[in-house]
Amino acid sequence: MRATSLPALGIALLLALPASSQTTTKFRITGVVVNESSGTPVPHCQLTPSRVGNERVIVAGRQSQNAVGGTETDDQGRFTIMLPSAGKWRLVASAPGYTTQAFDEHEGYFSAIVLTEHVPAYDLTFRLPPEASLSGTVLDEAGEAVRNAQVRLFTVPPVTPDGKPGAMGTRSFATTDDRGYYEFANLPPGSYRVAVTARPWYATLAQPRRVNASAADSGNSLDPSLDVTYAETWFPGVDDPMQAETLTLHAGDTAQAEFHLVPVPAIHIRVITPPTDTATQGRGNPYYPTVERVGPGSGMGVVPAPITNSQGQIDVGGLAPGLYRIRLQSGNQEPRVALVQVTESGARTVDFNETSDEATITIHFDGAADDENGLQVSFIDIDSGQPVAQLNSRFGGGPGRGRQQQDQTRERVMQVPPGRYEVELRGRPDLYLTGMSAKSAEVTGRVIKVHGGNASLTLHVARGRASVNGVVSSEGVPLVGAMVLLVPAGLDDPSSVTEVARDQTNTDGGFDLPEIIPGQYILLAINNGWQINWKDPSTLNRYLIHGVPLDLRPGAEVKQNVEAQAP
Amino acid sequence: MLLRRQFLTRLICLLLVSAWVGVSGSASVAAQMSASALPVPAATGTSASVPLTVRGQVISATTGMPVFRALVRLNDRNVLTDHEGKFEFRDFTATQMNSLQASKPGFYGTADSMEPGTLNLRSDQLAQSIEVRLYPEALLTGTVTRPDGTPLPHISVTARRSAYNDQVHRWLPSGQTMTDSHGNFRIPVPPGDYKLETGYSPHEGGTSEAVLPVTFPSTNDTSNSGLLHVTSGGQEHFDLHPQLSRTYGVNVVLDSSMERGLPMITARSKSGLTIPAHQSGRPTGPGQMRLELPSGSYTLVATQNTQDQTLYGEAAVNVPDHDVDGVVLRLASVAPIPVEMIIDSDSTSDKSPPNIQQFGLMLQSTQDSTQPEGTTVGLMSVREGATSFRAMPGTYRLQARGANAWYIKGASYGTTDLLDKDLTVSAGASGDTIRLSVSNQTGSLKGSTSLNGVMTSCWFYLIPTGPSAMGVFSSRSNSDGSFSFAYLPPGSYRAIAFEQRYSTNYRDPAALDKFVTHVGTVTISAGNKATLDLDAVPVKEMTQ
Repeated sequence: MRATSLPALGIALLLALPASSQTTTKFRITGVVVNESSGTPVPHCQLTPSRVGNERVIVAGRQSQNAVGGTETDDQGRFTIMLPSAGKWRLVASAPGYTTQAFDEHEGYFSAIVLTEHVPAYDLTFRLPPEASLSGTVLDEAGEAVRNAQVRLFTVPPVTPDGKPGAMGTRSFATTDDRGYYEFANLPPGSYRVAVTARPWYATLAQPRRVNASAADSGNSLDPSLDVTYAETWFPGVDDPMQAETLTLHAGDTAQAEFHLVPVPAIHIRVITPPTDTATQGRGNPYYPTVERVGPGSGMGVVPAPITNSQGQIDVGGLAPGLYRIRLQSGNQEPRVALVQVTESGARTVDFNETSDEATITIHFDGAADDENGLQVSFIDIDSGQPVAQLNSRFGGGPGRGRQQQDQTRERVMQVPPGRYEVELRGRPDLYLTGMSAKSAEVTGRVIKVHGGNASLTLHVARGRASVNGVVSSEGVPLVGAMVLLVPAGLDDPSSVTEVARDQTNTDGGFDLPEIIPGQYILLAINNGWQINWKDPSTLNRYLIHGVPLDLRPGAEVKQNVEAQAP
Repeated sequence: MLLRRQFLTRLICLLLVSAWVGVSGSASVAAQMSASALPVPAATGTSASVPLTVRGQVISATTGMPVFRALVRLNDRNVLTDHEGKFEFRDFTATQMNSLQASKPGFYGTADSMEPGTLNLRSDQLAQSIEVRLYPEALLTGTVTRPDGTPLPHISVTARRSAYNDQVHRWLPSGQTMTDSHGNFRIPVPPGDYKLETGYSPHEGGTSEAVLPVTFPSTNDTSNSGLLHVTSGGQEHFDLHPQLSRTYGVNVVLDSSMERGLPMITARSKSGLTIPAHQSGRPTGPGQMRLELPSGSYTLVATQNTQDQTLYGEAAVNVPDHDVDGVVLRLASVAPIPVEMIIDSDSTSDKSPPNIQQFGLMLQSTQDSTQPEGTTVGLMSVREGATSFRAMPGTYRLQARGANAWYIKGASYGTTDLLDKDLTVSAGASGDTIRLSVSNQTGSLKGSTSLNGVMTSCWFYLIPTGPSAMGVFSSRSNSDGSFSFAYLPPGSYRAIAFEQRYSTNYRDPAALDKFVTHVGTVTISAGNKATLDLDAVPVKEMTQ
């Protein structure tokens, strides 16, 4: 089962249930919750069941007078949950000092507990990992605490069988205290990276006060030694996320990540605005730029860069090297946007009157997508796995400069820096990408390499994804918690547009792989498969030779049982 | 009353920590004087245009130790102090008045966090070595644990500072944090008097237990002053032990004329506990809410504000050890309290009467509320010319300011004299009318403030001793020490001047006992001109 809903959702819905919903039925889950590391029972652990599937009905536990209560384990870590009906149940356990997890959860997959008329009860051992934590101190160049630094924790996705780099996800934020100390507690085991963004306090305070600046003012009077900033700093002290150290936390680990920030000269960018549209607006509205950081932490949003604007000359200061998005807003006009790679030695002027170095890609659709409503096109940087640009065809907006074409020609315009991107379609599970072709850009499979200037990209889209389900067994017995992989036959063919699909078997050995792009695949199942080292490319081949070949036609619903392989 | 007195003592203690930024001439080390206290020199002529080197040092006001890497701003130039706390501005072209300010995280410019501590220096004062004092922040640290000592993570802890707002005591939130995974917290705050509060937290650790709020020092605890006092640079540690309690569902039926939106509900227990009772889960039906509360007896207080009315309701609920159904919460529109104004008969008719809005009328809650919001009720214009207050049940003090030559001579609500007594609004009462009489029969006051015999600019406070809707008149005298009021309501006043801003409960006659030799009195009568010269309390005495 793929974990698609947060545990919190289960709790929230649970609260809504009337208190009278407890019933005596034959359907129940019993068991014991133990510490994954030590094997000792976990008393007073909260267990929350929720039904897996389209309807998310959730019930209260047996003893509960109170719908919130769910069920708690007793002093020996034991529990009994009565359920109102047969079905697939997701069981989430949470206890202070432990990671909140679904039953048999691994890398986002879990095993649902399947109750039927024939098997109305299931007894299990729930191994709950103790939580891990990460903490540290952020100090400045003088060894003094940096207060209010923003510390971000990213999860590094495990290596997948296809070897693709997954996008890092932001796990959480923390702010340093008066000692520069931060802490991320309650972490599940996994791989993490940490980054800090901060500005030197004195640089912020020393900004010239511009309120009363007269025309005779000599301009920027800021002492260069104070006109500094801190680059976005990744543990252990690098400014490139690719160079950041990955911290691997096991259950119960307490790790440290210390930071010493070193100021760099703040970079100033001159923004030249287009002439204001005086014809339609009379006086013409002034332009207001906002600056956003682009990259793994782009969720950070607007950078508090000091902006001075005197007679149309806009100076954006306080910038550290990095990729930024500058939005120029004037009145009610649609904002103009430019992506700027800020470097120590690079250009320091952004001229909104000129065409940029960026590639302007006109995107066309063909094939089954006669209605691409809700279809999203994402460009994922192939090296970092980070989305760089996204086009939502519903409103035709996006990071492109100027107006989007809104007519019926099924064209969309997107602007990205030169580079290699994987193109992803989202938002429409019924549609899929069968291939791409391009002018003034190179296309391989679902990867596009763009240079500067204008290019056009045609996305060939088809309708009707396939699905595969079945049962994994080992020597005739259904196997719980096995890893199921559906691997494209042409996995190492760069022109392939198919992708690896994955699931984990439920307590009845069942698995479900929905929304598969039609094509040639090999289906395989591995017992305890999550401990396999996928970094070694030959590893997958060992399993593939024992797999089941499948030819999935558009719209096919294939039932296929498979025998589990040893890890 | 006892509590009040202790507040005062505490506040005075607070001000023992000096609140000044001094300038010491290199030639007169002993006689440190504040910048504004220096006698006004003869015109310095062209000296302002000659570039000079400005030097000085930043030191900690509590330890006297140099503060390194403090940012010193002189007009629009900035520099960081060196390892000896010293700074230097070369080739500085002074203007007539120059502003100098030092700052650093962890420090305040004055002991009163409300004042930045900017020094205004004449060009001749820049030639001397300048000493700038920074006040280290205070630190409140502690742990939040279960009664059995197990740490409670992710509990919000708020430090509220005791402060006076002319007439009413307030608990201003000064710092907030969450406990870490070990239940520890630390809150840096300005020096002052505080209490600490932990927040209500349902579902501790994903369980059905709620962490109940706790206030320290406890409001019921009479064995101490009800305040935590922290000094500049000081650190105090507190171990807080909130109770945990299992919660149960309370199904509430709303009986309200309001079709849309849900009211805000708080549950107040008999023991003084206030729990925000949020809707839990999805609404169970129209006009229904499901709350979660620990076992106990509560008064549910519901409020709902819309553009044109304020709804209020109360209901008693007893939560046993299981869910409760059928609690009916009846919300009714709060009756407006109309305000009428009449011109007092002794007023001269040659000046047009003021608009009632010009008096800035407000009802200030006198309950020692921890919610700064919602405690002040402003005057609303209902329709053409008519005005009213919409106040939730509670007790209030009427506050007003003068409207040019006019002042509020009388204010009554039924038989209550609102210049003397609080206004009590009870639930469900139909609004009586507040009747104001206004007069323009005022007197004037002229005077001066001096410090150590030198006329100088000081903060001064004029406190009406009789019934009044006006607060304390506070202002800063001019640079030559002069001040004047053209229109003062007749009556007797006490007055005092300080070298720096001084915050206390001025309405309490005992508040100024310490400075009795500096307190002046004056009586203003209609049409008369009174004079008052004040000998200001120097910083050194303020802090002793």
